[in-house]
Amino acid sequence: METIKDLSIFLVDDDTLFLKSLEYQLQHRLKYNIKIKSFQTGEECLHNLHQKPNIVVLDYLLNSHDPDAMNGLQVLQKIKREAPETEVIMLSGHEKVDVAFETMKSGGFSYVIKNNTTPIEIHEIIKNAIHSIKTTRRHTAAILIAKLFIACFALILLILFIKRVF
Amino acid sequence: MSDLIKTKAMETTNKSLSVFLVDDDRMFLLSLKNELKRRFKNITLSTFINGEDCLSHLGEKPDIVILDYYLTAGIPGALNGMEVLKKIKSISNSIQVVMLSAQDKLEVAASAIKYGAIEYVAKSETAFIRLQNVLKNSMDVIEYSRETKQYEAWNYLMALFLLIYTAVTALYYLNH
Repeated sequence: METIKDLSIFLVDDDTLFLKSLEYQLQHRLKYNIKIKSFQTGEECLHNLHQKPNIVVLDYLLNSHDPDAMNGLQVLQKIKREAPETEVIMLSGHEKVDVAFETMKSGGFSYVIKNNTTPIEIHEIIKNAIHSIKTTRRHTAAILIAKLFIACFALILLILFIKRVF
Repeated sequence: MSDLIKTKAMETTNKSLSVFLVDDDRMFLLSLKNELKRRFKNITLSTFINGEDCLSHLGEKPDIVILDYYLTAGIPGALNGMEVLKKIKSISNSIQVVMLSAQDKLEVAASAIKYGAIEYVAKSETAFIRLQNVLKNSMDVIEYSRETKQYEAWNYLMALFLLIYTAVTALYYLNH
């Protein structure tokens, strides 16, 4: 796989230890030029959304410090509203069918349960997400070029028409 | 013309994706099949109860294979999921394999990824939802790639036409 320029990943979790170890693992496993930023609350993440992260790894329970903090699903829905191209991976300490279902319905990229295989899974899912982002970009570029060509043809026809008339 | 290109591209994307399900647990196989059938309209599902059957049907060119790790129950000598994965990947690298496992084992996850599986899913409460999600994501990627190929072919054609047209006009003006 070639590299994507300026790939940025946000990690959001109130568990600082998990956050640090995940950041470290991703930094070492992924061979891309990536910028990883960590946040402890969903609000902080949303506040920095203008930096247009490509991928957000989001924990579902974020209220261990502040009981009124937003949960992962609310943050996911806000992210999808403000930056629909951002792919969101939902993490959860406990397996809950409704959270998994809601994540999928709200447009999350994946739902991962926190256990001993999590770092491997997240690494793999991020790779898939990067692949998906690349495919989308290539698709958009191809459509843009097709439109340019059509505009070109239209211009040629217009010139020919004008030449005939005058 | 852009509509024409779009319909052309749509025709190819409407071609259904082929998905293989491999698991020796018939109950799980059947319920997964029904669940996926209900959720996705344009996919063709084939089910196999062992790895050998799946391998012998690889000629049907599946896009995605959902493979259970533990396939050796009751049959001594049967291939386990990892061996099937290796064989699939050695036959065609473009087939995407999702590894399923009843236990959440680190070694299984790590080697599945190492041998080219796109994702590792533990068989748990949320397994169906996660599998649907994985399938949706890979379907999106496959459909987008197909569409992109179509667009790129059109682009090459138009570029060629434009080039010939410019050359002809240039020659015409040079001669007059």
